[in-house]
Amino acid sequence: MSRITVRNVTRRYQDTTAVDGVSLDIADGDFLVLLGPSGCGKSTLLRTIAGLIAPSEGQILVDDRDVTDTPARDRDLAMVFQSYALYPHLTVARNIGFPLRAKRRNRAEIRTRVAEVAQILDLSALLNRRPRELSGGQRQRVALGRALVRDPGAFLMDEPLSNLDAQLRTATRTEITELHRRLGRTFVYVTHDQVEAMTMATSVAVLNKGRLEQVGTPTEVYDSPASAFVASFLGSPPMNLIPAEVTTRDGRLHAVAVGVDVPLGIDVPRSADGEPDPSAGREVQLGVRPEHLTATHADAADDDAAVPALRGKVRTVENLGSEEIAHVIVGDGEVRVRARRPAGLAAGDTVALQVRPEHTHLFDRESGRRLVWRPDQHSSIPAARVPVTT
Amino acid sequence: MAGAGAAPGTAQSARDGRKGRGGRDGRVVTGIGTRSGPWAYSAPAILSLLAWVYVPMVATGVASLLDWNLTTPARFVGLANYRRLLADHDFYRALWQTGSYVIMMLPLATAVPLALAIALWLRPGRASRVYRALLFLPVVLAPAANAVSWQFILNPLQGVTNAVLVGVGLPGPGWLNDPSWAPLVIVAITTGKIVGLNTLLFSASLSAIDLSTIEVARIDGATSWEIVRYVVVPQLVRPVALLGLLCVLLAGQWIFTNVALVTQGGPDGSTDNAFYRIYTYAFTFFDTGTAAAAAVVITGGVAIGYAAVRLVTGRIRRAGAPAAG
Repeated sequence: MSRITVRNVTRRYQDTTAVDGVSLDIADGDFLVLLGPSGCGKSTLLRTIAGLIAPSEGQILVDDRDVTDTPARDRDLAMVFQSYALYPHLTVARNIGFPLRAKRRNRAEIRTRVAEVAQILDLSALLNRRPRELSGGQRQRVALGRALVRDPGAFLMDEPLSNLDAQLRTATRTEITELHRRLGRTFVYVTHDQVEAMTMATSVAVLNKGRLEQVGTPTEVYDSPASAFVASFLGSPPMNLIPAEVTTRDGRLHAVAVGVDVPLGIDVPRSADGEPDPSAGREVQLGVRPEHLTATHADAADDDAAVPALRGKVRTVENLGSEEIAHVIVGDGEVRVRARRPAGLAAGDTVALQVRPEHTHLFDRESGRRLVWRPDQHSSIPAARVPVTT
Repeated sequence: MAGAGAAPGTAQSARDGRKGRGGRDGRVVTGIGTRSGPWAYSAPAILSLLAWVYVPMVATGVASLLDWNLTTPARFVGLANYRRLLADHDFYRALWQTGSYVIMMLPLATAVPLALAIALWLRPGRASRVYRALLFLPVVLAPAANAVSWQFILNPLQGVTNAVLVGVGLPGPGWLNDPSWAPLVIVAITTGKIVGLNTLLFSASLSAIDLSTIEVARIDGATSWEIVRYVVVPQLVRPVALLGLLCVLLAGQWIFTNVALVTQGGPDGSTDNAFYRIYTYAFTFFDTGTAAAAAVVITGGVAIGYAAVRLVTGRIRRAGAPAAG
């Protein structure tokens, strides 16, 4: 097993900074997913860990040993590539056995190990085939087998599922998760697919423009996103972000915009001398996940005067089978609402949307960082702190 | 006005339309009948092949049975030309020397360009591109100009090579007059042109290799030499086989220009080869029948060489890379 430490790593290409001062501590047996959009630097970071790219600054440590200048072959790491990188001229058996041959292991041992790995990955019947004779899923398993046969300290995977069709991707996702649990090895896995990140990871590191936005468990990054970027990257559809202003009414805080009046469920805090806290009037982005919004027809909502809400008009409703996504025009923007089907909404309906205060998020309008406005039970993330507390 | 053309949508326009684009069933219909269309399109290629390949091949076969000096009427002589050819010591020597040329040129046309292409590929950058261009430069030189230049450079008395050798106290060999040197000189100046082209072809093949196979080999513990030996070279079996095959088939033709212009088959027939021998029979001795018989025999030999190369490369491909470690 290997513990991998990334210490302030930066990688520049002429004028471009692909990875910008990233620090990560990946514990033994962790399944860390590097998540981010295309071009965010996640693959560059993985290749830097692998030793295929030298960092411009910073250090890579494996089990507290500085391997920044150690060749890739001496890092005890195995890698699975997006393209699988199988040797097209070698059979499946020789592809899997290649790392052992490179390490000068004897033929009998190679044969035994290859057979064991083939058994695990259900490749025993394909050992004499060449990569071109295999399906995408089989190729992917051979690439996994070649990594597995070495029994490395950690596995590095660069979008290994992206070339598979949706059905196979789901099945292989489960297989890889199962493999991780069985081996107990450290996995570092690059993907832009949030579903992979949420379902496979023990921790997720979200990257944006080469910088680390947040590291946490899948639950933490989903429930308490550290920035508006993380909030909008995770979730399908992503979190609704509504420009709003924090105001006070009847001694309570509200997020208010055109068509929006969401109670934040907290009293206006007072400073030590009893003056109202200056957080009122602050410009924020109000974040609400689509599944946390409840839609009712405006007429019905009017009867319940106690629940102020977002008000708008349904533009369109998407049918996802078990659920519906309603696109509702609120003020100048659009808010998406996710509900079990049938939600009873149709294009043109005027609706009121309710949200519970504990499901609202606030982000600073300028920096995009999360505003901590009540003690957060889940998050250990350092975030910008608005002087509003419960 | 009558005859001014059919309006769109009329029966007339529909009939006209079938001649142009968009027939009634939506297919694109050509101006030429659909049955004769494919023949019309392939006619230039077919006629060209007939005129320059197949008719001359048959004519050569027929000519090999004739006694004909290009001026007097031809006379049918059966297999007499073949009998004379097979009794000609010069023909056997030319065949033997053609084989020697192929054997000498095969590594120079494959292994050397392969090594150069890999070396340049492993060190990408501006210098690599400059070297590749320098290697390719002789390829664009006109063959005759190349041959004549070498004739001057290697002239035993006035050539710059011997002037330099004598200048540093070394004997200047008779590059083109000495039977032991002349064939080597012909091989050297011929491959000088081929190496650049083949290096470029191998470079193109190398660029098709998935770089992640190299990276994964690095991570898996292979040394640079092992990566070249077990990952890169086996992926180039096809281009190596193709260029090897081209060498076997065409070495005699590549050499022809240099033999004809630099040594004229001499000294003492030492640089003669099969193709120059055919030329000699036909245009020095005006013995068209024997030249045609030689061409038939050599074509048969080349076909056997082709089959042998296909057999060997097929086996290499089936065997895959040799076991490492």
